[in-house]
Amino acid sequence: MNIKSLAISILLFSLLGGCVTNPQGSVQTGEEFWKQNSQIKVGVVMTSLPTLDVFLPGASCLLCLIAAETANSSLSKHVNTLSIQDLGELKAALAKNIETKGASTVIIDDAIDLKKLSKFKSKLENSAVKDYSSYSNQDGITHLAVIHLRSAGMNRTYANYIPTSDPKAVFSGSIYMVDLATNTYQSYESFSISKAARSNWKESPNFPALTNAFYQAIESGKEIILNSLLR
Amino acid sequence: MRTPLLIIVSLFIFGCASSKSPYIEHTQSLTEIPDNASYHLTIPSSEGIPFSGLVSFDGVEAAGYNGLYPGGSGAVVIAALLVHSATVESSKNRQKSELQSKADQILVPYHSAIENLSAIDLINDTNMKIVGLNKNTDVNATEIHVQSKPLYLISEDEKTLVLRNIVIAHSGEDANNDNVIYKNMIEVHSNTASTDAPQSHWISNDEENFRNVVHSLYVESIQLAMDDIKNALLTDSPEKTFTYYQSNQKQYERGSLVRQQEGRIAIRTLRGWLMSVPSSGLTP
Repeated sequence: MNIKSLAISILLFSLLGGCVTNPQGSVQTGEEFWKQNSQIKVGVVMTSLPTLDVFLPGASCLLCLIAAETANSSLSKHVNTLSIQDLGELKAALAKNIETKGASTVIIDDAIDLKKLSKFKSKLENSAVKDYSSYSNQDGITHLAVIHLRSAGMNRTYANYIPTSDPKAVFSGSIYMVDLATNTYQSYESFSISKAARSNWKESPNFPALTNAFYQAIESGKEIILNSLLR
Repeated sequence: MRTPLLIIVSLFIFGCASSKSPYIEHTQSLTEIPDNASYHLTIPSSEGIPFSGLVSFDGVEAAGYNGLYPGGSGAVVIAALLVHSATVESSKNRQKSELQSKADQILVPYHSAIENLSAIDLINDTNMKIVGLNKNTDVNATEIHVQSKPLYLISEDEKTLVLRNIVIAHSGEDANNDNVIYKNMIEVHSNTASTDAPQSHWISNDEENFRNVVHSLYVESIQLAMDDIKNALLTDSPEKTFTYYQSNQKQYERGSLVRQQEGRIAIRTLRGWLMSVPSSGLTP
């Protein structure tokens, strides 16, 4: 390899490597935090409900994707009939849980659009990657609890044309609380739940076992969302 | 010539691995059964009472292959796809079998207790406790033959036993006729044993607790099946997600409530199966 090729390779790796960010690790609130409860006012906000979908990772070529979409069309049709509307009640339930710790809460009606928030960089430990300071002026809130619902539906992995797993119900997201004074995570937990159908999953058109697995995944996620900040 | 041979050999090699998981499609005839019907319960006794370890297949996924398929004629590409498919399927089945084998290791200390169980005792116990199951002496009574195929599962922490009982009912004198009026899976979960030493809890004292829980789960399952055969568990209660505890862990099941009594609830699952779980700490 000559010098020129080496220089180009290093440049390419630097550019690609620059895009990689370390995932945020888990941060626990801790009992000490809640001891200052009289000074804590938590705003509770949530992203929009995710659109339910059938995810087919690994079906990477165009023909593979078309073949996979066709093979799972009946499941896709069924997924569109499932409902996650009760996730809309999470904000109120989370606020109630936070109040059991003695802190006051404010439920923020509008959904938070994380893509619209500007990026934030700081050398402080557990710095949030987005800037939440715009919420600090609302109703005197000191902390912002964010329910981030990333995706929900069914997931079936592929290797090109061939499915490498049975479809599984999935629900992923994160729940965190940002200290608005420092824009750092007071608490952070991400979750990615995957539930398989018990025994046979090929039960078109209603897919009862996969539907059950889907609601199991949703309930498991709700459990994490409602309890994470209290640990 | 080599391509079809390759496919056939691959399918033979890989297609055999599978895991045991009882399944039956729920069937229910809504015809009214006369009150004086005569019921006969049978259970396959020759195989003993089967037990297995309770296992989850949530993590099963075959390793991906993202290489290229061989070029050439369409037959070669199709052959490559079929071989790939068979390999992946085999990998998934092998993982399930391995997980099941690992879960079955939990049974080792219980072998003697399991061997001491008798299918006849199960039926006799059921006959004693369930009103309406005893054979009617009226020669004109409608004959209902109820066949039961139980499978017991022991949870990983050994604190919970689960019975999955396939129940098939035929109407008529011949127990093996085609006139099936009912087919279903009845699943009954025991209460979680409140002990730090579950093994000794079950098998000490001449295996009394083990025998009692095995029998009580069976009686509960047959009672539910009998009521369902008589269409006494039809419900229009709304579908929702129920929470229950199994080995102190929250579990969820989507379905409709069909019965709530004596510290237990019975749910009609989305498959139409019946499931009875302890109701302590249960929501909604």
